[in-house]
Amino acid sequence: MNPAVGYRFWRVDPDDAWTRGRLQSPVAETLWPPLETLEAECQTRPGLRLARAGLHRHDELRISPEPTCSCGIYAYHDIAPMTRALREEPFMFGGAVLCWGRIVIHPEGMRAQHARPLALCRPESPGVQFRTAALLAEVTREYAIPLLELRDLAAYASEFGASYKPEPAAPSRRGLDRVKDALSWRQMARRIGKAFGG
Amino acid sequence: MGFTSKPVRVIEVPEPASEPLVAPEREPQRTEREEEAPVTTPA
Repeated sequence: MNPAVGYRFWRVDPDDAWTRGRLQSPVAETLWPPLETLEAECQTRPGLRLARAGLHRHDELRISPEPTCSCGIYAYHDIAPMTRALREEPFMFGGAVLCWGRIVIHPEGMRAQHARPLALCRPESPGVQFRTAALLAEVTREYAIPLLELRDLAAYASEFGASYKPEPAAPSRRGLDRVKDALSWRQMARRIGKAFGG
Repeated sequence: MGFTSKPVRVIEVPEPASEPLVAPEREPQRTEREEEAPVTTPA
């Protein structure tokens, strides 16, 4: 089984002397260690956005991500949700990650036990490119990863692993039957009859 | 980031065997464990 490839975004705060040049998870505020693997740790707590019953947090036998919790290292299966988020904040950068260990698969993405960044993508806006060029150069040097055009990101990432995006669920039999029923000649005749007061 | 849908499955994926294609430009920092490793001398 190949490692999983996903797409996500990070915040890099240019004004914070402590975190400058480091990728930071925007929700949990975890700093990703350069040249090392990030290991998931359940940090769910009251008030943390998206937090869902982190009852296993102090249970040493249970590892993160727990399927019933909201913990883990997040990544999307596709690039599109990542790029949507990038337009919201100026110092948010997107890229590809490689994930392994326990992976909880959701329809839109995954929560992983281990991850490391594979590449960052160059911002689409020329203005943002200009403002962030030096910072991005610093980050990619720190993590020893390439800075790629968005269109090249998926091809590059696929060299390292595979996508585990689930197939879209087939419509249920019951749903299909309802559609068939609604379109049946008998139903139509009944409706027409009712419409004309029959 | 967050997902609104429920998980569909859980998988276990082994650690990638190969190193990244892009080599680090500088030496990775030594870990504490490496520093503590005993030095063996040839017999």
